Amino acid sequence: MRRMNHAQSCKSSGQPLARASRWWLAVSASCLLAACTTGPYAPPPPVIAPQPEAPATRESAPQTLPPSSPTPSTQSPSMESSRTIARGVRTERVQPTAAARALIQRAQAERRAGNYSQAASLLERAQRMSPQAADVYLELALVKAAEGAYAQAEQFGQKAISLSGSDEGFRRQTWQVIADIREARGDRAGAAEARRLAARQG
Amino acid sequence: MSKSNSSRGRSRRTGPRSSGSKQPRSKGRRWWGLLWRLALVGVLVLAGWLVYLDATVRTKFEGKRWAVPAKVYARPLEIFDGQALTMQGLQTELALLGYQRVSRLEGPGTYAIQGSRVDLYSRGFRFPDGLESSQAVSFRIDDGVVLNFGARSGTATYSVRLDPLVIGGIYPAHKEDRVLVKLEQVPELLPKVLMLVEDRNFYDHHGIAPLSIARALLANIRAGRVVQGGSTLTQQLVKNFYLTNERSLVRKANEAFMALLLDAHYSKDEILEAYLNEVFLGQVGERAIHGFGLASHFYFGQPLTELSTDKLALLVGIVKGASYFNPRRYPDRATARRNTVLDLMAAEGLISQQEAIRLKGRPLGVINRPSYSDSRYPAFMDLVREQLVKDYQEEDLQSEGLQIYTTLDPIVQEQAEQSLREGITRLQRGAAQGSELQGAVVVTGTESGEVLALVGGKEARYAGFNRAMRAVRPIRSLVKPAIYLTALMQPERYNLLTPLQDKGFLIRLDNGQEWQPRNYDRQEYGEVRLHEALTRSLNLSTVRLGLDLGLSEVADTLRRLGVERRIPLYPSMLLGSVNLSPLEVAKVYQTIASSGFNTPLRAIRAVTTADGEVLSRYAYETEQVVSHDAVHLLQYNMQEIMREGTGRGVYRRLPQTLAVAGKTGTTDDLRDSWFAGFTGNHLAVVWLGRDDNGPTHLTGSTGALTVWADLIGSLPEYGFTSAKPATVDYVWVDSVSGLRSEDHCEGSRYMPFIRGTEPQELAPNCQKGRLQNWFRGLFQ
Repeated sequence: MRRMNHAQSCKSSGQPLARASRWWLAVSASCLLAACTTGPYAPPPPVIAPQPEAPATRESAPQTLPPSSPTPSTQSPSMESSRTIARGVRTERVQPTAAARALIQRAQAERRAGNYSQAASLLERAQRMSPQAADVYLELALVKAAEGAYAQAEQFGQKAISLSGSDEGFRRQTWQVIADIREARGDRAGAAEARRLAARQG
Repeated sequence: MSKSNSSRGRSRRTGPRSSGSKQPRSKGRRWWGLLWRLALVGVLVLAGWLVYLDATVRTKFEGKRWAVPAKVYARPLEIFDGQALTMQGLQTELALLGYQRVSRLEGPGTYAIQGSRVDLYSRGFRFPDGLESSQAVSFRIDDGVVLNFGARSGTATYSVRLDPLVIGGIYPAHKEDRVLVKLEQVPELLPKVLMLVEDRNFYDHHGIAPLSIARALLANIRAGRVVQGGSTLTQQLVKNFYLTNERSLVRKANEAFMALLLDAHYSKDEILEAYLNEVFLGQVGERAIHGFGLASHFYFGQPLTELSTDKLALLVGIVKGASYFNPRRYPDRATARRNTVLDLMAAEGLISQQEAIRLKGRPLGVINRPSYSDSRYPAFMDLVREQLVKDYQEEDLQSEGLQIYTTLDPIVQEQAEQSLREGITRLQRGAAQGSELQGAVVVTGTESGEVLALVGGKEARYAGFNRAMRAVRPIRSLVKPAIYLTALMQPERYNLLTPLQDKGFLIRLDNGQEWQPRNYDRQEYGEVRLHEALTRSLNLSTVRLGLDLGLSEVADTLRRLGVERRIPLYPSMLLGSVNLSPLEVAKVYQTIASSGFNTPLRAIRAVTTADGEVLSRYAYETEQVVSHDAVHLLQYNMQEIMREGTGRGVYRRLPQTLAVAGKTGTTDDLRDSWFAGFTGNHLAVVWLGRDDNGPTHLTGSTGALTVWADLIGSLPEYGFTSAKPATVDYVWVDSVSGLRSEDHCEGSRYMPFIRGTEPQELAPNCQKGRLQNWFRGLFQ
């Protein structure tokens, strides 16, 4: 519903909404992450301070360790070690670093200008900076969709879902994008399934 | 011109012939006629020759002047807040790039370090995705992370990309190499000094300077040998460009004519630019160093634009004889030659006398080893070539000056080489098995699938057998995650707590042979939990599980994960009689690390023309091949391996706080030692073994794991964190009974289950419920 509104507002601002569904998708996609979005996953304003992905999930200072410092205690399968194992799991959605966010924004501008290859290049740089940030993959999905490479677009969408953690709003929007992609490639049933999954989120 | 010449010749030739049919008038006239004819023939031949020379001069000058080998770049180092980077890694990179350490930034290519603070002036570079301008930035490196990044000048940015290291070229047989420069890009002083030393009247003569030739001739006659050359820059260019090294009058004449023709056709600036790129300035092995652009990298490890006056003087000085004045071999000669040039410059007023005195006191500044080396990372170059020849003709790679942007991370590569070399030395000392132990390392980006490092043997600089790509060995227990994944993909039948039987058995194969698998320690463990069997790498329970699942099911999983080779459907496949190279193993584990998304490994990001036009981009691609929730359980299990199982030795080297996941692989007869594992940013596969396939007496844990741990422990790492799928729930379970438990109960463990498969019944020792622990709340 909300997405439809965005699409309309973008249409009225002069975007070509021509024959191919590919165009429609490009437009709706550009609306999704464009400035006209206020959806829950719209990128927050850039922050200069290091983003959560850096210190929050960073686990070590390996280089400060002498080459073979002995382990204080040998591990035994105890509750303690169970807890340690669970450290390797996260439920939150990782935010891109400030630098990656800046690149994502540049990529969005390139996508809107139709420079898909350039947009993808910028997003790959962002991916190297923040490989766990779902935003990067959702944006990649939008670029591929705009390009008409629906199969790869859907895969990037799935990748974004896999990194969405507990952020149901983000997941809903991503399923919505996948639904549009499936629609565009003529997969009616798949699109309906994606919409059902989108509706099920939060 | 050629047309009018020949038509004129023809018409005149008919004249004498018709007159010849009449009576001869006198002897004298006949002689004159003969001479005249001879002269005519001479003029004709000369004209023809000139036409030929003219065509030669123009064709080569206007066509592709040089066969420029493709240039191969490492990935550019990108610096931004949150980047994992150590001070040591940064310094490795900057040293390779030839950045100068200074106390205060002086210009592009300099940096200053004070404590944890770094000031850096980047060079700027034109990348396939656009121009990265040169800028001064500052940041801190704390605990292996970049912080407080900020621009000191220019536009405010969040990141800076350094120029990428050149890691090699793709050379044709004769190995001529150059870095093309444009006249407007070279330091202003360079052409001035060059003309001063080699050809003062370059802008005034017509290609040759008869006066200086005469002067040189006189000097040579007086000395009785060649002491002076009268060649103009144009002649020198002609000599190098069109002619052979033969010394003869004919060649000298050709040179003079061609110089005149070149001068007539082209502007002085064009000729000068060609000269700057053509001149021979050094030799290393079979590789000839041509032009000032490459020579600057070759001798000083710096781009031409950054050279100081004394270094420019040296380069101009060695034009006279690159072998005789070789600054690495004959530093005294080279110094004397440089000082002669500096004196000349002072005499002409290009620099002051004081400046000349100061500069003459400087050392040559030549780096020991050319940083611009094509043999530094031979194994990786092997991989690059393999990917390139699929899309490009060998000839184009050798001559078109293509720019190849790869994924190699020199910091990771250097560390991987060192960890392997030292690891092998250490292990050989321990087990005294001669010098035959070999190994290979592959490192990729955990999500991107980019190959960051490839080490093909313990002598990484030696372009020998590339084991990372070509040592195809049984992967042994590295196959096990695929078996467990196959099980976990059937949540209605299996979860991490499913009991398995770890008991011996005998299989009679179709060919009548019998197969009796054993555990590594020859023990049997009875009933074990699924996760425990993988953590301890038990063979008996694993084979039973694999047989229950079906060999073809397991093979199908392996194929989904990325195995392209034919997988033999024998039960021994379940214990890893599947032969793969370390690179292929990396591909399989990549899919596990990136949560079930198969991502083709890439060594090349893009290829552009010499002018920067993108020819191909090798984009990141991915495809989901296994459901996320099943892989998540496997990732959990592979972290357990590192905490409690066969991989726990890593924590002798790594901090307890660093979450990693991985799997050891050992051959029963201790021939191959494997380890494959990943953190948040790196996936690394290590193989150790012997080329003759002899026993190494190493298990995965005692061999490959130690190299892996040393590598990961030396790099800045983010811990591996697996994003919890929405369809997976973590619950406390009793590790003995496998029943539901609470966090406060003895022997309870917090484990993931695909929703709906978690145990419901509460364990008897944990009947009294209590408040949930804060920790549990984190995951719900």
